[in-house]
Formats: sequence, structure tokens, C-alpha cells
Amino acid sequence: MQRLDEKGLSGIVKRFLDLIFLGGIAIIISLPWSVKWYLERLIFGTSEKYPFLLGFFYVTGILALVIVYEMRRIFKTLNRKNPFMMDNVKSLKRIAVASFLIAAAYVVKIFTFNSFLTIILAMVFTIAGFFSIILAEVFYQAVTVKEENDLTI
Amino acid sequence: MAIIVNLDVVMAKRKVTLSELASQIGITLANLSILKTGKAKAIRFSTLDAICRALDCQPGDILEYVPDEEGEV
Repeated sequence: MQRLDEKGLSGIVKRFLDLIFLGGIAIIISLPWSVKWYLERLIFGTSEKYPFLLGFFYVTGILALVIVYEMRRIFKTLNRKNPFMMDNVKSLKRIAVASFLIAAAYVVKIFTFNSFLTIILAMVFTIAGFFSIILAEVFYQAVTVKEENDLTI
Repeated sequence: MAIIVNLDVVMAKRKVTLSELASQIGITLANLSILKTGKAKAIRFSTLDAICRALDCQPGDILEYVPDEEGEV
């Protein structure tokens, strides 16, 4: 992973992750007002959808924040040049669970406030969940190989 | 698995300490003590070669096979 090691790139990625994390927190805090503001501007929006949309964005927003938080934790182990540890396997499994929960929320949204994007996002987050599960298994096997190698004198 | 490492026996006979041996064969003290305490999972031939040269012994002096008893993993 030499690419992320250069001063420029690893600094940029870390700053992006921090930005997304803090931005996410700010957006979640502002949800009661921003959802109302957005609904008023939609042609097809009706204010009776407000409670559902608010709850929906809270749930998916917090789950997305969990995903970014776990990504930052994995990134820190990359900076320490020691990414193959069981903690990262657990982080990836938590990312998978969060992705599947977000996908489930979008499936619910299909039946209440549908759009093309909702269907697409449901599929995207399902795929992301499976991707994370596979990556967790890859890391698990890598940790096993690394431990064996570390104990080879 | 029942490969016993008798490194301390040979080291005592040759009156060599762990740190002396480590610096002679060029591996870290930590790795050598992993080997000595039986925590190692594998040993490279090059390491075995260096140890036997430094201690003037045979691999069989350092490594011993003890058959597992019935029913043990």
C-alpha cells in the first residue's frame, strides 16, 4: 500500500474521511429543518411524508456515520502499517451489517416514498453489504497467514 | 503437534546466552525466545543452519519428536 503512504495522498484521504464524518454529523443534526425545507420545494412532495422521511434519514444517516467511523478506524491501522488484525475483520463485519440495514430501510422506502433512485440505492447498499462480508473473510484469512508467518523463525 | 525444541539444553552445554546466540546468528532476541519457549510454528532451514553452525550441533540435538498420545490433538 505504498500509494497511501506518500505524505500527499494519505493526508488527502484522511482529510476527506474526516470531512465526510463531520459533514455527516452536521447534516444529521440539521435534519428536522433541512427535510422540511426540501419537502416544501418538491413538486410531488406532501408534508404528510415529513415524519417518515425524517425518521428514514435519521436511521440511514446514523448507519452511514457508523460505516464512515469504522472506515476511519481501518484507515488508522493502515497508517500504522499493521492492517491485518482481527479488529479490522470486526470493523468490516459491522460495515456489512450497517449496509444491509440501510438497504432494508431503502426497501421500506420503496413502498412509501418511491423513486428510481430509491430502488437503485437499495441494490447498491445490498451489494456493498456483500462486498464488506467478502472483504472481512479476506482479512480473516490474511490475519491467519500473517500470524503463521510471524511465528516462523 | 509434538516437536520439542531443546535449544536451552544445547545452549547450556556450550555456555552461550540467548542474546549472544541471537547476535551470532542474526535474528532478534524476541524471535529466538519465541523459538526457545516452544511458541514457534515453523523454522526456516536457513535459521536452523545458522543455529547448528553457531552451536556446533545437529538439528536432532535441538529438535525432538514426541509422538502424540491416542486421542490428543
